[in-house]
Amino acid sequence: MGIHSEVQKISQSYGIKASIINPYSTITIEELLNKWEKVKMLVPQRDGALQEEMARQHAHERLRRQFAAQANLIGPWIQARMEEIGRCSLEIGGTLEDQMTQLKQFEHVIVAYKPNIDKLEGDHQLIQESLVFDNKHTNYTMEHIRVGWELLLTTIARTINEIETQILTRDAKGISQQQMNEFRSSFNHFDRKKNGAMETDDFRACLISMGYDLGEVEFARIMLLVDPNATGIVSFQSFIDFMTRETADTDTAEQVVASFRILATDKPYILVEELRRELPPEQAEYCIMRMPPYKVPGAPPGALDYTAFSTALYGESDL
Amino acid sequence: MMTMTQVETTVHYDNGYEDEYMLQEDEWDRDMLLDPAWEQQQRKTFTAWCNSHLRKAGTQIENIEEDFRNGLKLMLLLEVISGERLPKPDRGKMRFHKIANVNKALEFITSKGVKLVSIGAEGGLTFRDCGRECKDDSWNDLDYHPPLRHSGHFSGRNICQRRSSAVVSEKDCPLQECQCPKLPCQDDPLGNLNLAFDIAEKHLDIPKMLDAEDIINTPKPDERAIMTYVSCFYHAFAGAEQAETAANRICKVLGVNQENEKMMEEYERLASELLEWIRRTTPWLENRTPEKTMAEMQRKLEDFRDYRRQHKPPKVQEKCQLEINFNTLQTKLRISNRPAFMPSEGKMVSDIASAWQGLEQAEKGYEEWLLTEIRRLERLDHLAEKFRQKATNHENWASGKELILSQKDYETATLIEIRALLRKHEAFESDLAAHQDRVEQIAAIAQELNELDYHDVAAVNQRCQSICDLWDKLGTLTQKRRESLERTEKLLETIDQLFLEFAKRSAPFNNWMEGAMEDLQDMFIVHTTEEVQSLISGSRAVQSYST
Repeated sequence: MGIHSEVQKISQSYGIKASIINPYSTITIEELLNKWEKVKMLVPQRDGALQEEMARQHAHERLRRQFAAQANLIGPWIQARMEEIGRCSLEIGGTLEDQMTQLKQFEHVIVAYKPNIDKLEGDHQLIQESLVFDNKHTNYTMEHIRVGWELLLTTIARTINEIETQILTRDAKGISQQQMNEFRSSFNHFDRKKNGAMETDDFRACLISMGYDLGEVEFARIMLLVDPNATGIVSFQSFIDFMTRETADTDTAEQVVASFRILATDKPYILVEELRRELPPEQAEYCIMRMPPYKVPGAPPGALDYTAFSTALYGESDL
Repeated sequence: MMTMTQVETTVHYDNGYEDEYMLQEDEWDRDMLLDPAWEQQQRKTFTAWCNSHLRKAGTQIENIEEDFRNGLKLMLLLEVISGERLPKPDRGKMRFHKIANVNKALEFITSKGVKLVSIGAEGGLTFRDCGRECKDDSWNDLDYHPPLRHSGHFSGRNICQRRSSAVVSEKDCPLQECQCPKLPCQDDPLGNLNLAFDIAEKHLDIPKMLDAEDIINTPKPDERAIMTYVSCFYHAFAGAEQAETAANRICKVLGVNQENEKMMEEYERLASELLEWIRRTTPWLENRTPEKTMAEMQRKLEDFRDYRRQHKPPKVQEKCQLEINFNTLQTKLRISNRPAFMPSEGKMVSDIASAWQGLEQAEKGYEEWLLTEIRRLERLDHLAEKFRQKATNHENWASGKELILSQKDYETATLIEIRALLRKHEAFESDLAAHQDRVEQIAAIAQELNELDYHDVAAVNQRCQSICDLWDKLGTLTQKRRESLERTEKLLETIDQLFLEFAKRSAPFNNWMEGAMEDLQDMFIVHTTEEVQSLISGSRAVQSYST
């Protein structure tokens, strides 16, 4: 710039009229001036862009913190509920109905908590839409929370169902609360891992402690009864069933056969008319449909074999 | 209760007998006994009564004495009445066989607590004991109310209390009440009785053991005969009650069965639906074909979020419900002594668990893949844009340079101009050097675009290649021009030098020549030869000078 003005001055003062073009350079002063203006303009522009980006990053950081704050609350809350449920189901004192009441309460609390999960999902959506993929403020990812939540829901439902089936069993077999408590305490004692289920070895130890002296074959047979799906664990329900298998007061095949015999007036087969006469229509049709024909020479046509039907009901034979 | 059919169909009776029986009675009214009419009535009642029971065993008797002789039918009768199995009868035709059978029957009766009044097998049976037999349990319980039967055959009939005294004394009304309370109590005992007997026979399967006229006309009707008859009522209703209980029991059992079957169907249905959903959804999660643009990938991510928030949770619940239903069903089956439920092929608990596991496995990888892809695309977009910008800038700068560099303007330039050109060229060279960095950057960006598998990488490569090619060319041209310029400079400098030299030399020579010319052309006046001689030597000097 300075040079240029020098040149100007000299040419003016000495009256050198010839157009002064610097032969040594292709860059004119105008170009320089233009570019300088441009640079001057770009600096604040860039500044602006960077500021915007900064604001964006701040906003992201806010989102991260918000998510983290929520997640760090929800994660432990879910954990605490899981532990509560675990403790409740291992309890020995109190009746099954008490346990049920408590579990239902838990369930209520859990269901009421759902809006928090939804809100977290909302935050998570914002985060993902802003293409933020990491968050150092929390160890919990949305997926962790989702999985934990689903597990919590499943666990409470399962545990409630366990208590329901225990109540069913107890009522059907007439087990007293004291007996239930004894069963519970035995079970807990042998459930070494304290996760609500006995493993095969635990169960074996339990049987031995009760005085059963079992060979491998016998034990295997019992395991099959107690764990028919071969999951490798014995649930409390199966345990109770096994311990009370002699005390059930149930219908048996013989009783049903005897009942049919009465209706069949002591014949070994029963006729369709007799079924229709003696039973309500729905049940009569059910029997007529399911009973195999009585195939003994001399039996009238249409005779139905109620014995085979009855034993099949109880799995003592196949239809 | 045992069925008697087998005994029944294989036994054939022998009607011939060897000895006469003699009825012996001890404690009864001798007058009544000796009354043939009474005996006839008794016999009739008793036969009918026996037959009503024996009918259930599929046999009948015609004549008491004859048909009970060998004890077989007697044993049958006792079995039917008591519902118990007696020891197996002897099948022989010898007398002692028959005696053995009758004894077996008598032992049985005794075991029931019935006192046998001077009976031996060689004697016969008294009516009284048979009457006792059917009375034993029932008579204690006359206040009993047999219930209505399901089939509705007795609908509208209320069964009322029977009072033992009433049976004996007021024979018509109670009987009548027992059967049709709705019917008006007509003043027609004979008609009522007959009506009662008819109804009993038709609907209760109780044969007419009594004669209405006999009963009415006899001042003191035979108590025992009437009791026998009435006891049949009791048994009919008790039988009905038994049938009722049996039917109830069956209904209960079937009800349990139907409920269980419903639960099994429900399980199968839920299991199918869940498995179907898993089958549909898993491939979607396993599909890893990347999209081209970020927007599309982000949409995929949004879909995944929806899946996780809306579509999957109900399915998690369904799976849980399925397990719960299964457990409850198995428990109920166990409790009611039924065989365990075995779901159909492919729908076992383990099948569902492994299918679910597969789903979750696919899920886990999917979100990671989505995020990686989105990051990659983000970077690619950024890089591509950067490349475009830089390449454009460079191309703008480079456009025309080639032409400029190829100019041959130095061929016509003067030294001053050449020097100016050289200065300009120097400036250009520094410009070029400054651009070297930028070209390298462009190449590096193109490289990264290649590594990250940019979808339009071919175009990028092409552009980069042309830039690089041009760059190389520019480099070459610049070099060449420099050389040319320098060469030209040198040449021009040499020329300049020579000109200078020329100038340097030519000027004095020119001056001398001018001088010489003047001298040579100088007007000379000579007076002596010596003067001419010096002039000649002077011009010769010039001559030699000029060579």
